[in-house]
Amino acid sequence: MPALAHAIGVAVLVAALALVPYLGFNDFYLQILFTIGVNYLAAAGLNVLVGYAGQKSLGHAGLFAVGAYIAAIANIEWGLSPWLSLVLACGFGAIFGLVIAMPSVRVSGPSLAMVTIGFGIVVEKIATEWTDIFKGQAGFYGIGAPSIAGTSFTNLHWVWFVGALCIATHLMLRSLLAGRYGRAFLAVQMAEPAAQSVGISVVRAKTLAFVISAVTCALAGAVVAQQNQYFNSDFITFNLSIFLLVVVIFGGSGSLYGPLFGAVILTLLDAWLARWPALQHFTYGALLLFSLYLMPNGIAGAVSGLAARWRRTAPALPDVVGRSVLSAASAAPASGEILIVKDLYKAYGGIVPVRNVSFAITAGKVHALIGPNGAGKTTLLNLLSGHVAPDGGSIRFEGRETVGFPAHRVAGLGIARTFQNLKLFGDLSALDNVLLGAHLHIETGFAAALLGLPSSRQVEARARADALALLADLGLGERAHEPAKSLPYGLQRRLEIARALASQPKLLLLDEPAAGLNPQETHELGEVIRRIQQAGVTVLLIEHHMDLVMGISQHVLVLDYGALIAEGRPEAIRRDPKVVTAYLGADEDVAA
Amino acid sequence: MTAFLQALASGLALGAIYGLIALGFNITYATTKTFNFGQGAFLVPGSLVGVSLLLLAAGKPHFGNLTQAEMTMSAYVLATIASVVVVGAIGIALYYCAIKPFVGAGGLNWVLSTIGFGIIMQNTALAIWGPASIAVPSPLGSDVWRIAGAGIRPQEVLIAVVAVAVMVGLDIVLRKTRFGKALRAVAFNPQAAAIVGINVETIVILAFVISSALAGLAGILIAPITTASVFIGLGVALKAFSAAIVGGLTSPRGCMLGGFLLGVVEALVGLWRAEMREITIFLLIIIVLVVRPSGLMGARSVEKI
Amino acid sequence: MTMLAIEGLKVRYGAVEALKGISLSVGQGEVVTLIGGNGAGKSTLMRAIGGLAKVAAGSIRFEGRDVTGIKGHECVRLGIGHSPEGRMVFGDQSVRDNLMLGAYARRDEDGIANDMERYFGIFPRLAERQDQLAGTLSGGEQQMLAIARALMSRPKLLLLDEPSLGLAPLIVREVFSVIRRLREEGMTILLVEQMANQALAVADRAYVIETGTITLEGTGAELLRDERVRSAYLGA
Repeated sequence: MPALAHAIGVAVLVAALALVPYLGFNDFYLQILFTIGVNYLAAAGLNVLVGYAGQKSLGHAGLFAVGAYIAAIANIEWGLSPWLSLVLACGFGAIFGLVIAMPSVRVSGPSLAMVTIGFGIVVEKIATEWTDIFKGQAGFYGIGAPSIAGTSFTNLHWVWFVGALCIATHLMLRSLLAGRYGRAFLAVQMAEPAAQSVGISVVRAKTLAFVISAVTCALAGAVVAQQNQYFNSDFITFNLSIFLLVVVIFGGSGSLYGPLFGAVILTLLDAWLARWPALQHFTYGALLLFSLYLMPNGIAGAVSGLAARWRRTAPALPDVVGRSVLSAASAAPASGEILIVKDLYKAYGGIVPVRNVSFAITAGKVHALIGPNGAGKTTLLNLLSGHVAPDGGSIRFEGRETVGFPAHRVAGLGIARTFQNLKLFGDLSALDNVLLGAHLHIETGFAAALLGLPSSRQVEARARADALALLADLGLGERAHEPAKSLPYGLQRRLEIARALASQPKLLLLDEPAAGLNPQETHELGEVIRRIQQAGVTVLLIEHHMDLVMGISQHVLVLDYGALIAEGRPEAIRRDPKVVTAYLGADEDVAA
Repeated sequence: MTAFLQALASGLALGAIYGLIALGFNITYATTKTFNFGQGAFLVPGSLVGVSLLLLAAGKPHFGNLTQAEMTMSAYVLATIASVVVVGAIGIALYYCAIKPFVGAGGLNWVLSTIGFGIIMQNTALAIWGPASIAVPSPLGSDVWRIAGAGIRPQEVLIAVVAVAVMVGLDIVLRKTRFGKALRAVAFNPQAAAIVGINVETIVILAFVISSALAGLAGILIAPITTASVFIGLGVALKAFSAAIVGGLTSPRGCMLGGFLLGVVEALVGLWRAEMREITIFLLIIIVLVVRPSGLMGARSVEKI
Repeated sequence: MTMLAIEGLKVRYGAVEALKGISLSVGQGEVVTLIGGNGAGKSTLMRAIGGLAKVAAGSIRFEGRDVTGIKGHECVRLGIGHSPEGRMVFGDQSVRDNLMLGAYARRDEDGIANDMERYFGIFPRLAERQDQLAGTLSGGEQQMLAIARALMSRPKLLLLDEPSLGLAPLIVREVFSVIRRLREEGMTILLVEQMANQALAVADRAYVIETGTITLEGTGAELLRDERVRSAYLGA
């Protein structure tokens, strides 16, 4: 949403909150407003986890409970002030977010669901059964509530307080998610291998998302406990975890405004249906079953789909002029062997795609890796980029052993790659894809990003300008703001190269960059690769278009049946009988 | 010692139930990478449909209590068959409503859609049977059997025997029969299964029928122990899910092993401190997953890049 | 008699048009080969014929009957056997069970047993390893198994998709001797290959496919001598 419209929206919300006392709401309605706010708080953070980082959690009731119990215990047992208790609740939320993230980031799919459910249930059982500490069903009474200047909060104050918290949370998340952190979350959700290839640590990104979601959930729990001045174990149920998830998903996960829609609609629905409990449950069941089917992107998705029909916003132009990575004058051309591979070996069951391969890559040159289908080329590339671990052998990049490094660390050393089956971040714009490529070079601290400090804005603006310059340089400037997946295929291929280049690599690995391209596009690709070489980047490409390979490479490696059968200059390779046999089959059979 | 034996027996019986349901998770997961998160709700008609049929046969309203005399072994067998058939048929509806729209689309939307289906089913059951629980006598009577000094409930023995027989039977079916091999073929590679002439969707639907039928069977087996009610399912299904995850969702034998393991751990921890049961179990699961993310007997998955 | 007739076939994967209007035919008892470099669209064509890829336009007729758009499992029943690219054997089942599954569409138990013995005769290494899990076989053995599995359905037309993929030269020769034998027995075969020399040597007729279009066609012997075939692979 453009900045102006957003500012107006926030202002309208503030004005609406200020007008609440004049609307003649009774306590019942004030309570509903309060509940909307609390649900929004919990859902806003959960949305970062679910909608941005792509991790489902079915146990966030546990984190809600952490906040509520800390608010109660810190105040009642430890004698701390309500304000301090509230801060402490957020802190403990963060710690428990880390605790739940530790096992969660290691698993995916149903196991992830299991871990989060397990966490929720453990918290629920502990709260219920460790009655010495948590008072079980009896619960804590008289939880201290914050007050300002000695005035305790009325229901109206609570609405204002929660409203303020919601707006603050929204502004912080909006600032955070607009920059490198938000992009990193989305990248992890859309294509983990590609995220790793631009240097994002998947584990760290997911952990951060868990912590963020834990903090807002704990805050919501704490606020509920303080407003109620009472909290017991009945609050924490599996159903609460499901409800929070439904708020996010029904509202529209991955949209900044999804949790708002979800919280408003579901809280109102809940209040309205409370008279008919059976119908209430039916409605939840039906929402879960059908809303995903009818509105895969939730209410926010449906709304923005409608809005997109009549609104076309021209993206703001950057006020800085950027510099394309490609136009950068090449530093003193490196020389010598930048990458040395020795006895590399990888087997899958009875199939050995890479058997004891050794070779070296010379800095500054374009190398081609060729060989018939199934020869093991892509596996070799995956070993080099750290996406697959070898069973044996060594890879030394600039003298440093990289075997055992995860892919994101290999990327950090200066090895970038593209993928045979394009792995773009499809829903993100071309610009965002390139910005993700530059992820490691956009140095913004977490706090600065959260608070939207000028320093973080400047870094971001500079990076945007550079990314736009690179896109323009590669003929993608016109389409910088289109989602990657809507670009024509040839441009998608080129965008993936742009993304890899944005990381300013020393070595660029290209996996079949010409696959699916027409002759004209293939020719242009050759030009692009030449320019990459001129910019001082060493290139290793897997390719089948022999015209391209022979035209641009200075050194050719031939892999067949997992083994290196020849290497040398292109002209020599073309005449090598072993290579001809590998491609066309043995000649003696022809006579037969 | 007798307390230990008693707990062990209960644990094995409970574990057999978990194992049965977990096996159902395995069968659909293998073929579609999905399973029914709302399986708990499938235990409900499993126990109530059979019992209500017997009540109606005895000329009573469909909710009420059965007497021991009305619960003969043949009546129980009939009730079991009815439950298995009805719940198995619901599995077809589950497939079309909650699985088919989302299968293969990636993501975990199927988790939410199956939970939703379960909530609807549970509330339908609530409308039919109400919230009260129905005491169900065991066909083997309520007198405790003395084995090595330990008192063991006959229904526990029945559960273990039936469940083990079904598990062994299914294991044989999966390994030896044409259907079983076809199901494993679909699980291994649906495209390869199609090119040898296997109708993949038919196999998948059958997988959901079997999975649901197993939940129905679990429901009627456990009813004499827990009583039959609309609320029995969730906890049991959650443990069964845990069993499948611990044992390895991709391995049928792992799921059965996980079931027994969980049942026994739960019973033995309960012997020590009842309130520590769930906490221990779920902490155990989290630890197992950290060490072996694919479960004790699960196959490690390799993602193709 | 024409067994398989394809007219103007188009297949799309998302934004990419993998086949841009392919027409070809295979006659009864013929071995027809389709050669071309990687990414030319060879396997896509096979997948379309085998009912695994969605056809965007054009038609496929098998024995005079329109089979465009029918599902994979129905193709087998009509008599199209498919040894797919990448072999796709059922790795967690035994060699014998893989062959049994190949005969899934058949009900004649005696015939199945006879055929199994027959193919164990043709592929002695499969016979030696009949109780071993298919996933533990070497690449060459898995290829033999994939071919034998396709034959177990008693196909009228056999689709062989890149049988030499990733195999050592010696094993490639073995695979081709099997193809030659099937040809002598009168099997109708559509063979997709990169190994142009061998493929053309066993073929009655051949097509060259480049980026989704057929660029050359002729008898195997004609194309074997054609310089353009060579350049399609190794560059002009």
